[in-house]
Amino acid sequence: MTLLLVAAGALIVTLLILLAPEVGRRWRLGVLALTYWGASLMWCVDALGAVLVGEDFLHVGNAGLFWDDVLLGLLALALGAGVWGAGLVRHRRKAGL
Amino acid sequence: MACFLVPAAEAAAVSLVERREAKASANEPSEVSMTSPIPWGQKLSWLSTMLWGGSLLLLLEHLWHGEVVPWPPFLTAAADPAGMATMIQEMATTGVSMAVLVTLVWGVGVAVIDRVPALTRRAALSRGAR
Repeated sequence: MTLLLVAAGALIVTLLILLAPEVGRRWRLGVLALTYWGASLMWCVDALGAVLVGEDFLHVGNAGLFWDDVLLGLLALALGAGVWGAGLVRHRRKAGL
Repeated sequence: MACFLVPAAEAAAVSLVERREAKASANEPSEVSMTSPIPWGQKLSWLSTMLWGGSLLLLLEHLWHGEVVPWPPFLTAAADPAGMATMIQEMATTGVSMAVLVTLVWGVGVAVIDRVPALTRRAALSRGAR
């Protein structure tokens, strides 16, 4: 579930960049999209490894694990956004904007 | 366990090359513009962002699951030899696969951007925003 949430975040940010390039440039959304894509690809490998050894990837049958994964996914999205926001502020201060 | 350390190590290496590339292109900007409108350093920064960002979010997952702790030895698997062996094996398989997949996707992306003029223009435009 963490993978799906972060991948959805990556897709949304990428679509925003494609549909509104000016907004993407102004807010440096490329950094956020690349962060989410990088994490999604890494979690893909993790998920594939889990499926290959017979583990349940989505934990649909276990509500506790499922919601634990959802919360982790949301936290991952928030951490990515936080780091991107801090980078944006630093960049703007440096550029004197 | 510690699979994120492999892409993080690659990210550190790429960042070093990126910094050297930035210094080199500052000295010879004309050489860069002859080969591609997007400098090599810019392309490397995409890779390092993917690797650093991914490693950071994976670090969060490892902290969440108690596999990384804020006190020595930091990696819970490193506390005993059996755990250490499993951790190294996981780094060699999952960690290396993660680094290879991210690099492969970046390579394909860069190749596509270099060959599609509309994407090249868009990426070159975004240079000033980074």
